[in-house]
Amino acid sequence: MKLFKIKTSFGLLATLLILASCQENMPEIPDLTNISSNRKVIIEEFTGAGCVNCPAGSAEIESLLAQFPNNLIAVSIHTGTFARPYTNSKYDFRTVDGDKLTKDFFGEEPFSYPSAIIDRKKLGQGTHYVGQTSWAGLIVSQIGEGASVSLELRKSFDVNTRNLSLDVDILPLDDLPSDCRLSLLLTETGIVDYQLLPSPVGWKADYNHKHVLRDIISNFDGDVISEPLTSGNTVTKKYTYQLDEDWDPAKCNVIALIHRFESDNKVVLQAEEAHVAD
Amino acid sequence: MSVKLYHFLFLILLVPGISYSQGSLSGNLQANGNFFMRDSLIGANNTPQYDRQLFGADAWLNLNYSNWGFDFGLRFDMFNNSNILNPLGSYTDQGIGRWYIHKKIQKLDITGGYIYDQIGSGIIFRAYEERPLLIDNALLGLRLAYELTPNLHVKLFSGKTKQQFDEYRSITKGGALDGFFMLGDSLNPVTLTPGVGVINRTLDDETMQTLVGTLGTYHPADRIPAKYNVFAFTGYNTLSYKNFTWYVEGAYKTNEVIFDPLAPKTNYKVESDGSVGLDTTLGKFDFRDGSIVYTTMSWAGGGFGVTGEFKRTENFSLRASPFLRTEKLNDGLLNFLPPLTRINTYRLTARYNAATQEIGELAYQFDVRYAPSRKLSFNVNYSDIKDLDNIQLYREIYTEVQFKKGRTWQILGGLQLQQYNQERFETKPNAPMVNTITPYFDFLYKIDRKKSIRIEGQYMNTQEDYGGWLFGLAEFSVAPHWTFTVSDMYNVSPGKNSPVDDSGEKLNLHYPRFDVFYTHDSNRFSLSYIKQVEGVVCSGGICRLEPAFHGVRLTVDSTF
Repeated sequence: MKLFKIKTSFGLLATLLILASCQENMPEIPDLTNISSNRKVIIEEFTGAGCVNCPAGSAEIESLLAQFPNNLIAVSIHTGTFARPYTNSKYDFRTVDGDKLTKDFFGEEPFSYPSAIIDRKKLGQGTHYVGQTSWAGLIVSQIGEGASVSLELRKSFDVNTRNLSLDVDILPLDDLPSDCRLSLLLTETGIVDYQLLPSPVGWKADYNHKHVLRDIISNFDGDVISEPLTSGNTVTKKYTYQLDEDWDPAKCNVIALIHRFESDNKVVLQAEEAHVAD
Repeated sequence: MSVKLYHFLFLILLVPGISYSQGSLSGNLQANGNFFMRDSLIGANNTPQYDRQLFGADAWLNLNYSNWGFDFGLRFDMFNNSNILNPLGSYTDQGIGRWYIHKKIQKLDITGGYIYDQIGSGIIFRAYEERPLLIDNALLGLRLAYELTPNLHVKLFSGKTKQQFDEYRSITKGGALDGFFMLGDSLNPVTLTPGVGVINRTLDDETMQTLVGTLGTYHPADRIPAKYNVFAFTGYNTLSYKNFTWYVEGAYKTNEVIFDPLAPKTNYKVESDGSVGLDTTLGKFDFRDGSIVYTTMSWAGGGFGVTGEFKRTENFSLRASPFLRTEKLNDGLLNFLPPLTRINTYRLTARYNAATQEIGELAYQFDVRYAPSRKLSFNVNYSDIKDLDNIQLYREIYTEVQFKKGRTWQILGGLQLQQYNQERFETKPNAPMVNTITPYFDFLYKIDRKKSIRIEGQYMNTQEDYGGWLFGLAEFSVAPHWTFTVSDMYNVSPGKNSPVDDSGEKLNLHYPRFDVFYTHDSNRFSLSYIKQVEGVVCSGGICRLEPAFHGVRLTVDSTF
């Protein structure tokens, strides 16, 4: 009985000590209203017309674009089972390059929709894809890292021939690895078509689809940059591209990415975006 | 796991063979192979397996060895183009899925490695494995248990929750004190098995950095604080007296950031004139504490058996990271919330299942059994689940009558009525409540001592979802080795979600299945051709939507 009392007392003491250590210094929620960085982060969202949770993901992206207009670029890639058009849809937003990017470049399809890849960064758990609730935090973290390279897009668009001429200036701020590649993506925004929304709406005919990936102007896995990317030396790459008849140039954007191209590291170092036609 | 650890574990397993010591080695194998056959009509397409991989496999080889007062365990897990992790994806990896070392030194019990354990009914902590859904929440860490007195045991543990061949970064630790007491008359005592438990999960810095970054983007109206630590406490007791048993458990968890998929979130948006406006969507993080009350009572006597259960859940999401609630619904669970619905086994009575709701649920269940004789028995079960806003999520009435005629034949039949909130459970917009009426029967006839035939049939009457179904099955067994099964699920009156042909006409599709099972001693093989409609697959209240399947499945189960 005495031994039992000693053990019980010891247990109570241990419990009190544990409870006494329950107080923690709570982390501060940062004020992001005046965030300043030369980094432009790209969020590649994987979505589909038949994905009921995706409009909330798109709203999240719009909310982040409103908060970080100078530091965030968005692309919506329609791929996978949910991207099949609705019976009455006017458009099929799926693209060959979008599917290749998903399956061949990132090597796996998203576990759930909407998913997104932030700066093509592979996370600790071995996947590129992250769910909607993680997007904001990872974007804030990437913006805070700053940039090791600067990108500038100079373009001209001929409305008659629909030819787009592009000069991409790459200015490394540090010496960059030799595996870096340049990718050029074309998006169109403000396309009105069907989208599945949560109850009570259901299929919405006049949903405004934004940042829809139309094509990848470069190779889907990026173009090799043969010139050395050394600090302070600008490298310029030239492209010409003819816009599809069905796309509205006033609503199209071209996005340039400079990214690593190792088997396990395809992280984006910097991104830049420009309107096709001003 | 380091190379050194591999060598160490292999040495442990090889040494007995070399030294001829008196250890015991046991184990088991479970292996599944799926051959995928595309059938776009039923939706068996658009996954890597149907598109190009054609074959997927998963296997678990488990070895246990005991010697020198130690127990060792090692499990090899393999996934080759498997769809078990993500029914829409392909998963390939292999390695040591589990290892452990266990030793008992007098009253002290030590386990190191991957640990499966639980506190109480698992409401605040349960590390377990559920292979059909690839849930493996083993805790990689250390567990110590000590016998304070013969009737009082204490245990403490700490570790990281397993995620396939990796671990989540957060740390979970906890403990429990369990007792056993007898009161009153020694012939008819009242027995009490009370217990208390606590767990604490501490987030890692990287997760917290992402979390505070996320919360920093929230509109001031939604802005909440964050904490590294969450604590959950529980108290429970089982009281038994004669034929009466009463289990009750109450649990509370402290404030933490959890995700509520139905909470309105204020978003910013850029208006057409360039100004910044506001928008609202559903689903956001909130800073909430949580609680659960769970109780079950049962009594048996005079041919009767009565069981009643009740559970109230509020904000009891306990995961390795708050982000997991939206990414992979069944990943990183630290606890287990017991389901309060009947576990149905027939194909159509089990078509609609209620997943446990961690944000809010008010559920109860009654089960009455009566057996006036050995030949005849009756069972009535009623379960009801609402959310905390009194919205009906699930309701089921299940009746069953069983009659046995000696050893020659037996028949079982009854009626099931269900209400299933498909909009909530499967997030299908505007999906109406699925109302089903399902009569069923199961007839077993023993031809002789070795041969038997079993026939079952069900008809599901519903206007919703895929509409009405008819299911029939015939099973012929030749003991002790062979079983042959043929079945068909027929969409007798197609509904809104049934497949259509090119002209848009609803199709009355058949979903046949053929199985051959062969059992020899402790080895069991099965070969099946399967055409299966999409549906919700649940295991213990944990559910996920499984797409349609069409193909051939081979399974091997062995114990040694």
